[in-house]
Amino acid sequence: MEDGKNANPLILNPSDLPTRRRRASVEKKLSTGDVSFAYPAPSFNNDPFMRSASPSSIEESDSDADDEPIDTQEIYDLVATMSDPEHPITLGSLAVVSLPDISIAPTVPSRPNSSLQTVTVLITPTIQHCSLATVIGLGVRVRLEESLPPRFRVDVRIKEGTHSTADEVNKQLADKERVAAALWNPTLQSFIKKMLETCE
Amino acid sequence: MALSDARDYVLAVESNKHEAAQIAKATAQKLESRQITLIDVVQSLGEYINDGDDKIRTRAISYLVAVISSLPAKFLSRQQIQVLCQFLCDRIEDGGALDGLAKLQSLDRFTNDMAQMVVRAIFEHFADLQTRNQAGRYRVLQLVNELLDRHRKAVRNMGDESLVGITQLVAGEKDPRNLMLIFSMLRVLMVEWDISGHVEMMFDSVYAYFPITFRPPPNDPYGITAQDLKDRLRDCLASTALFAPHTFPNMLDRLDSTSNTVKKDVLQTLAACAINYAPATMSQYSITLWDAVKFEVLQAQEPDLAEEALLVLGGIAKCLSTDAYGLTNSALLQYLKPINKECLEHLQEPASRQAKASGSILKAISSASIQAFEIVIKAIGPALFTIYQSAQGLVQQRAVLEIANQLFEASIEVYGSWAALSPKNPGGRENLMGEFKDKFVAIYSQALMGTVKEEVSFRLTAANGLLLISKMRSMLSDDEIGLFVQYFDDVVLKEESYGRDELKKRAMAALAEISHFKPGLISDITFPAFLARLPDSEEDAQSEQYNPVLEGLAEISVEKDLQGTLMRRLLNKVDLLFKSSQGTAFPYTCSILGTILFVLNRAATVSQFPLDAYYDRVVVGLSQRATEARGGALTNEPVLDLLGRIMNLIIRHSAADKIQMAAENIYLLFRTDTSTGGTAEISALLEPPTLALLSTWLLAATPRNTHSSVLNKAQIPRIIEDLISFASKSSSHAITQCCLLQVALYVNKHVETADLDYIDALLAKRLLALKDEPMGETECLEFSVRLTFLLIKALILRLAPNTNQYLTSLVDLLDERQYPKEVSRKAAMGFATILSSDDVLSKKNAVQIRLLAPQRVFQTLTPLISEKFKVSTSPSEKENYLIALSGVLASVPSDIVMPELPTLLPLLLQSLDVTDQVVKIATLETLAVVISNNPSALEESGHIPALAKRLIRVATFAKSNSPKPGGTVEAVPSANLPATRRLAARCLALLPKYVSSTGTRANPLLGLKREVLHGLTGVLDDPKRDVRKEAVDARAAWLRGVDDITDDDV
Repeated sequence: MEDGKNANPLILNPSDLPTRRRRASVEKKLSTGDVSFAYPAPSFNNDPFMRSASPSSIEESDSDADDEPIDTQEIYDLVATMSDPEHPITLGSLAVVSLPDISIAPTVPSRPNSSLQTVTVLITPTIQHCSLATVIGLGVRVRLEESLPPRFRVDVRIKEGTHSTADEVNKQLADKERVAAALWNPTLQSFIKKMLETCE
Repeated sequence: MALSDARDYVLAVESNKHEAAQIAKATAQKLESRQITLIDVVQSLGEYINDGDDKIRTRAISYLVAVISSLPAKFLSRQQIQVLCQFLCDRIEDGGALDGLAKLQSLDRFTNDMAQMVVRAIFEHFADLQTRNQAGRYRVLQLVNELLDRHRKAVRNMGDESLVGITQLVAGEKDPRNLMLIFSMLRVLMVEWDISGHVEMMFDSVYAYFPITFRPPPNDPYGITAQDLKDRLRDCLASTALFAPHTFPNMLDRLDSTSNTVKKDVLQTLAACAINYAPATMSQYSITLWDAVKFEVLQAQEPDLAEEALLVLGGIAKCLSTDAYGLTNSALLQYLKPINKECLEHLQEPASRQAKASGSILKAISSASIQAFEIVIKAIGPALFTIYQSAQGLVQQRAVLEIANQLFEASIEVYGSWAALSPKNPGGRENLMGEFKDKFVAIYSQALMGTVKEEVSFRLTAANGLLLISKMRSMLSDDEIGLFVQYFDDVVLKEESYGRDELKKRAMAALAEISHFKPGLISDITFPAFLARLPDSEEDAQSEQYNPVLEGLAEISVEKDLQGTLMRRLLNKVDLLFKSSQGTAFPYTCSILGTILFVLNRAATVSQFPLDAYYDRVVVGLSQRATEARGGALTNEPVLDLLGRIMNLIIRHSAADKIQMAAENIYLLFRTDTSTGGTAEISALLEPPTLALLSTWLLAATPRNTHSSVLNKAQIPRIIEDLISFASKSSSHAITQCCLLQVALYVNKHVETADLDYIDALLAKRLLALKDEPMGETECLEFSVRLTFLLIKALILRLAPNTNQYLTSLVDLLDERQYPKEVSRKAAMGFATILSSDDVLSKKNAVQIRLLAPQRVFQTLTPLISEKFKVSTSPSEKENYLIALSGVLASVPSDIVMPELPTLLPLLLQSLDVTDQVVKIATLETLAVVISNNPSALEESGHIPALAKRLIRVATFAKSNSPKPGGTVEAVPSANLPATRRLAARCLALLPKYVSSTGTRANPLLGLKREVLHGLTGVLDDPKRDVRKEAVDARAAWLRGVDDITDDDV
């Protein structure tokens, strides 16, 4: 395992990792609500007698009017906070997962309106012969499978040209039987548990 | 006679300690009055002292000791002490003798010879110390410790005899209490004795305990922790440089340990050695240590250990600096050379982890002293520029700048900042960074201002660096720092917002920091630039432009002068706005007033500045203007509310005469034309009616027991009447509410308890009127309910005598058989007001809020509501009770809620079935607190399965699209809000964190695991992201948090 370790990887700064930009409406709200000196609302505005029990009027922004479908940033947020099994650093900081390498597409291309969708995550190991690439892939897969609704298919692969035995690893990750069997292995289980501990 | 005393004592001591002590005291008095002699006393022990029974001998000795202890300090002569000392030394193994010796050695006439005699007696008699019990050993050690303390010279004069003797005496000790004593004694020996002949023995005597693995037993009464022992052991190892040949090889060996705690111990010990050992010694080992310790930083596995290792490296540099001044080939230089070399090698790959670690190493060693800093910067500084020039891409460039920033920090550490010279630089030596500053400034300026805004972290690093350079003491001229200020201004004002706006925040923070040491630059450059962004009229203002500006101005105006300037400028702006403004909404005016309020509040509460200076201009001047206004901003309710708050704040922080003046002007509002007269009707004075808002805040600022025409005891009932009538006629909700608040202020602050009958009568009248309020006149009805609640709130907060009765009458309002349905409905909502915090009715405004009020309210209301809920048959009435309860719950501290849980839980569960979202949210928030603070109560109630099921139901997004094909897809009317669903999912996530298997009982969640996981799968597809996020966390918590050893089912 020693030779498969990269003791000196590049680390991205958290400020440079992709984040969700706030929607314009929310942003406006926060610029007065979030700052240190947000001045107090008029005392007469806080009036429990005036509120109504109907859902829509509590908070305008907090209605179900606009859907927020699951997008690539959300997938990224799910996996980027996992930590690498060999460094105490997140997969996002290590650029093992990155936003452009995540895609969501209809599972059956001929029926784009179907709710069945496939999430593809391409993993970039820190070095060509990273021995733990399979474990990382497995961890990402586990995280996504337990965090996404059942209508999503999860496809985790090694990014082309980034790993010496990518085909082998991909075959393992795609094989349901082998994935299921691997999850019975106590060593792997503890590895994955450790990776998932830092999820936010 | 003495004989009988001895006998009495020996007989009494076991059964009656007190009596025995009295006997000893009596004997001591007889000795003092010379009725008997010391010889008599000793002789009286004769028959017991040689008894075969240990116990008898012990009692006899303890009699003697008790007598000695009761004597005055100067009573015994030197000879007598000599005799007693000899006597006790001979019998030192008998119980009590040690106590006697301890007493004797504390006397002034105890000589060095005697001390040595005692020490020798101890060595002689306690060679087998370890065979005794802990308490016995402790007593011996304590005596040695006391001798070392009071007679150290005498013991030291014994030389090797005492050194070896004590070391051997304590060898093999294992008890932590004794070890604490032993370590401190051994340290004395190591430091003050000549140990050169016994270095190895002394080293072994403490090293044998390394590493300490002691773990205190639970509920340890002695409170000795492993850390205490480690600290003392470390002090021993670091006590003398003579240990170096033993310490360092052994420690470096242990550094290979797999245990992180051992490694941490080793590193801390090495750091302590580096500080205490002589530079000459350290210089022999410095390179060896570097070679070993560097891996802990360069290949860091644990950030903790890396920190400790950096302390070691810095400590060595600090030690070597102490005698390195002026020498060209000094020990310090020899130590730093290989470090510089190795770090430079790593820096060639600037973005790598080892380069980052090298930066930390360079910072640690260069912070040690000026000499160290200068050696490092001479070696590294020029190279940094070369590396920067040849760096590929911003990632590498940024890494170089990060490392430079670390050196900047070190330079401030050793030379000092604008605030103060560093203690490491008492002579005020010039910063060597000066040689490089122009180049650095050029690079950093280019990095900050010449890079696209998407490169956040790169620019952040540059901004940090510029701030650091400007902080260096006498490094830059004001012009140069002014340039940076301009950069930061531009970042804040001119750049488009991007991402989380981290750079803008950092630039703002940098300006705030510069304002502390260069306020002139801020007021000359930043103020004009910022203020120029504030338009002079409401119409030209756009919130996204002025808000960040105001926010920034508030942040940088902490210094007193800056704050004064800012207030002047903003008040001028306010004057302009009041003059020009027309229209109906004044958000810009409000923002400026909000900023004034924030800055003044900070000045008054944090810096404790008085605000008298603003009284005339704001309180008097603006009140007068408001009385003259007939439109525009000064009749706008939000504007007046903020203005009122500002006045309230200023009055509260002004001198007493000004407070009194304000109290006279609550309704007059400093009018100059007194044609209306001082005794005019309130309704006449409150013209325009919006003035009521200002009056409210002025009244709130008035302390209790103030005398003025309106606060006259005879006047108050009439004023209250006037206010109520004025309020009932007003069409403006704000004015009504303010007048009612004024009534509440009078009732709470300015009515004596004896005069409350009048208020009670008023209240009774209102309640009665509510019973047969004709249907339809909802406005009037609502007004009465409001008045009732506010009156009762004012009374309850001061815990008026009839508090319980008031609360009961409130609960009665919910009873649909007693009151019309509309009344009950309104009243249910009103419960949220009773304990909710209110800016007007607050402690700051001297409102009487008794500490026990929330508890009293809650403990009275909960059983009442719960009781009524049980017997009620009407669904709408039941719901009202739940709404009322949730209203109270929302503002009660959780430690008051917890004792009532058994009553509450069933109600809380039912509340989850109510459609009212506000009730649900309040309930879920309470449940979240219950789960995390009091999971055991939840378990005992047995409600967990019911709770989990309801939570799933609430968390699930209700779309009726699944079962019926062709059915319309629409939200069910009772759909829960996203906030509600999110909270429900959060509660589900909390359950496994706090509820787990206890003792023999299985985890109560285990049986629910499958159902909850299945339920949460549905929540994963919620249309709202925040809800999904909570569901993901909840699933993760249940998947891995709910486990049992026998569980292999899921």
